[in-house]
Amino acid sequence: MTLNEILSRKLLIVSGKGGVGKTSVAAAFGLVASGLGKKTLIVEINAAERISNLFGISEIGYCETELAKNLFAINLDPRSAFEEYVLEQIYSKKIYHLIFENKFVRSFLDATPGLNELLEIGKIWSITDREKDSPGKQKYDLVIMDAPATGHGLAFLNVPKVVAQAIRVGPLKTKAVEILKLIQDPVKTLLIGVTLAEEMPVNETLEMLHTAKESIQVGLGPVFANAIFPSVFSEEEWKEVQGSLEKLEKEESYVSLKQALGSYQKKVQLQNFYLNKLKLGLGDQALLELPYLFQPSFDRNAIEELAEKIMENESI
Amino acid sequence: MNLDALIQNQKLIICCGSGGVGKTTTAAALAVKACQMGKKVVVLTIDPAKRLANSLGLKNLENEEKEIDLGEISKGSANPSGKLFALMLDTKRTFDKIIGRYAPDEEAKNAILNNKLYQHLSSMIAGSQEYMAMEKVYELYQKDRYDLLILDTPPTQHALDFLEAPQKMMQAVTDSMLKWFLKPSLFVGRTSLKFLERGTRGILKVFDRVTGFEFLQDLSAMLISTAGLLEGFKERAEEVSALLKNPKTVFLLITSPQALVISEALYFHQKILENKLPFGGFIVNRVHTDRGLTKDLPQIKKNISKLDLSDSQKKSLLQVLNSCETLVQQDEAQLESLKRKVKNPHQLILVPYLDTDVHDLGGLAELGRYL
Repeated sequence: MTLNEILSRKLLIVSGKGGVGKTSVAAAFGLVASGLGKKTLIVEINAAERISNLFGISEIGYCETELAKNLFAINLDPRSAFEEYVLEQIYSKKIYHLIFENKFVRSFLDATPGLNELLEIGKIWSITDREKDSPGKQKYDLVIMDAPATGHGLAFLNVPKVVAQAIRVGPLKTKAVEILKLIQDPVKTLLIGVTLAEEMPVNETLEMLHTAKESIQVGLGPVFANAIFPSVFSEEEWKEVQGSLEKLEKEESYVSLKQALGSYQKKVQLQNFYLNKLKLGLGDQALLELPYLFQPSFDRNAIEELAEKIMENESI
Repeated sequence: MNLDALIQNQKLIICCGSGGVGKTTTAAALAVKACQMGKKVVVLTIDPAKRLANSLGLKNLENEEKEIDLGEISKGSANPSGKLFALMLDTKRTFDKIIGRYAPDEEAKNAILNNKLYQHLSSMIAGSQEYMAMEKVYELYQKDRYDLLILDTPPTQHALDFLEAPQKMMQAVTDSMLKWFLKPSLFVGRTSLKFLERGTRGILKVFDRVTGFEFLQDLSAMLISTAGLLEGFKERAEEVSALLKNPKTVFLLITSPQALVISEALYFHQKILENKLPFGGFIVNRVHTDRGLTKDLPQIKKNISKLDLSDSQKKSLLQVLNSCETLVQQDEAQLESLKRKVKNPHQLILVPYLDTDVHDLGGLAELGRYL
């Protein structure tokens, strides 16, 4: 798959275990796509918003906000998505407030499991389905979804399927079926896995990809191994260097030198072990490495650096 | 914060935090430690990804607690009488069990278990996990077979649901207005005409437009059949809520030294305080501590330049050392910002970055030494 092929999709779902850098990879992909002239929207679903923080702007919330040329972002919350959805059906804000902002109805809705997830993914579907620009609502070439952490991320993607199966007729059923069609169409949608080269993230990523393919039937894109430390020394070279360092044994600073180098090399060895395990598990599926960024803070510059690294791979 | 004292005195430890900070591993390490202290301890995860089994070095875990053999590790124990159990929540089975418990009779029970919506909602959908986790924790607590329960929760956003689960459930079932609102739908199954004549006609019409009549029918059928269970649910939700606030319960916030993760931990901390829940402290995992490198670096650089190595090797060495220093500085800066906001330094426990991945019992015991 080439980078262009990936970016020709309508929806990229970026998923992985918590803390592996999904938001950063989603943001970097956003920069790549928008840089190539595609009008792109990054969708975050998070109570504690991250994307605005990365781009150094104030909170964006439920509002499609421009981050850079051609690049937009929104943070979905189920309540706003619900209001929007209902208003599309009944056209009256007055009735909406009368009925749905009613305390009792509200608590009923809050307690209905799966409703929030359906609303959020329904919103994403309706964005990708837009025919043309309208005020505050662009027609995007590409939507990038920064999905919740794996376990829940998959449950999240599973909601339309469950609803489509559980309900026989009606608007909710129609909607769920449409959403499912989008998710299961590999020409329109791809799942992009993000992981670290560590035991648990690797296991979970492989497990997630399996479920995604078998049970949700979503098309699989490349997997990103994030925060990879550069292998500075080969095993042979490392031995050579170690031998040479022994000459410094009597120096006072030898302990901290040895400790630092040793722990770095161990990290690299462990990382290579898990990269291998990941490669084996992925089979034909492409694996891409993104470097750990040794920078004082993680900001927009860091995202741009990651975007450049992605750009370096024409074929993924 | 003294974790030994917490293990000694508490009945329930709840580990919360963002994804990827090592919650599951920490929960498991605390459990191993408690076991080594002679406690009969059970550790429970509600995360659908199979993390806990993974960190205990097991292939699978089930909905019922399973004893873990500590093997060699128990030899190093202060008190070898400890026992370690683990379980992973199966949402659907727990849900079915609750229905069985509260249903007034066999017929009512089957009506619910066979309801199409129930079957789908109770299993796969996110959100019901939080309800069910509370149920399972309470069930284990009630059984009183263990000295200590350790709970591993899903990532922050959902952990908030988890905190709010009992209240949400209580609200939904106690509002008498809600019952009034649901009542007209009693007629949906029988004669839809009567239902249309009811006072809530307008509301239901809107609901119909928004969700579809069939959905409404299924939903009301499910709600009618669960109506008999409401009192039981309500009672249970109140008990669970009380358990969370019990002085024998403690919440620990697990975090790591990264800006985004720390800001989420602080947000969660706020929520814990707002909800008046007993807070123990923060455990900061994977901290790159400065073991003299920063101080020694100028000297080390001088020494390296004198070594009999190629220029590119020397350059590589410096690159690695600078990277190590950056790691330490990155973490120190983040810890400083956390300390400023937390104010009470006793609420912080730092766990150093370990060279090896923790994914078996030995690793957990090793990690436990820092807790």
